[in-house]
Amino acid sequence: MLPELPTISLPAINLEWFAKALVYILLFGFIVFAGFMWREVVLGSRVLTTKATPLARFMAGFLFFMVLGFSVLVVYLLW
Amino acid sequence: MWYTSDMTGERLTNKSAAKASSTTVPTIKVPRRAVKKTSAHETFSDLVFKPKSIRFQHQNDDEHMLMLVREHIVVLFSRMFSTLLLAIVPFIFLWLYRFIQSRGIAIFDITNNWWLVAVVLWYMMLICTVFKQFTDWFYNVNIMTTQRFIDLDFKTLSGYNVKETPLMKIQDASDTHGGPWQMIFDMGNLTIYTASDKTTFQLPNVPASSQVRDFVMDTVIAYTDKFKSEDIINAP
Repeated sequence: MLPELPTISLPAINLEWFAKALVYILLFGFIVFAGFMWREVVLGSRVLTTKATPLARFMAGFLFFMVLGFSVLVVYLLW
Repeated sequence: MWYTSDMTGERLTNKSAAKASSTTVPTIKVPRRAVKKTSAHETFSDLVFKPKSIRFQHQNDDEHMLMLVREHIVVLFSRMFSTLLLAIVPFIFLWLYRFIQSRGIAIFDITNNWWLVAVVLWYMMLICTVFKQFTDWFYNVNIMTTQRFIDLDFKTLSGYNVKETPLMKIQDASDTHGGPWQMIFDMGNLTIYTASDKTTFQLPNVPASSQVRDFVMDTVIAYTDKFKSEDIINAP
């Protein structure tokens, strides 16, 4: 006779909490990604200097702060 | 039609050829495509010969840039276009959601805040992707100078690598055209082989690849001859 299997009770998953956590992780990823892109442009403009260097640096910085701003907006919406 | 390397658009006459041969820098023929470029176009161009407004790190004082080549600009536009096409996805999703709701099937209920969050995240991702595609295209360049051939490879999350070889070590160059797009837009995959077995330069989707290959080999031959003649002159 087989032994009786233990009953596993899963905790109830709060979907909203789960979705919020996912969004926060995504936001963190976006901020890191935008930071790395800014870094790439700074490094790239050191290696290759063109007339567009100031514009490229400005655009990369702008993108980083735009991502940061949108992240704050998203956090505010989900708070 | 071919022009002299000073890019003035002057045809190679006997007089100008004699003048060019009297200088210490070898005269290399530059494709006509390059003559049309002005300094304003140099920055965002996929193929530039003898750029005046571009410099690279650790460029020697006596070193001049002969050619800068990136992937064909059509490749960048096609990548950006396919990314921007994804901008309509939220509208399609919204339409589907309303369509399902109108049928009386309530799978899930989405509040306005969540809609806004999803749309903001989606467009943020698209903007970041488009910018990444541009920077990848812009900073992945191959440079040919009067002394060496340099390959710059930038990767957003994993840094960059720089590969270079002196002109004298370049042995062969081959270009292949594959697929309809490469035939239509006159681009090809260029491979430059060096004396080292391990070092090859792979240049995918090079604009006017046969002209670039020809330019590379002409330059290598001209400068190798120059170096050899200088060695003979300077020999004790």
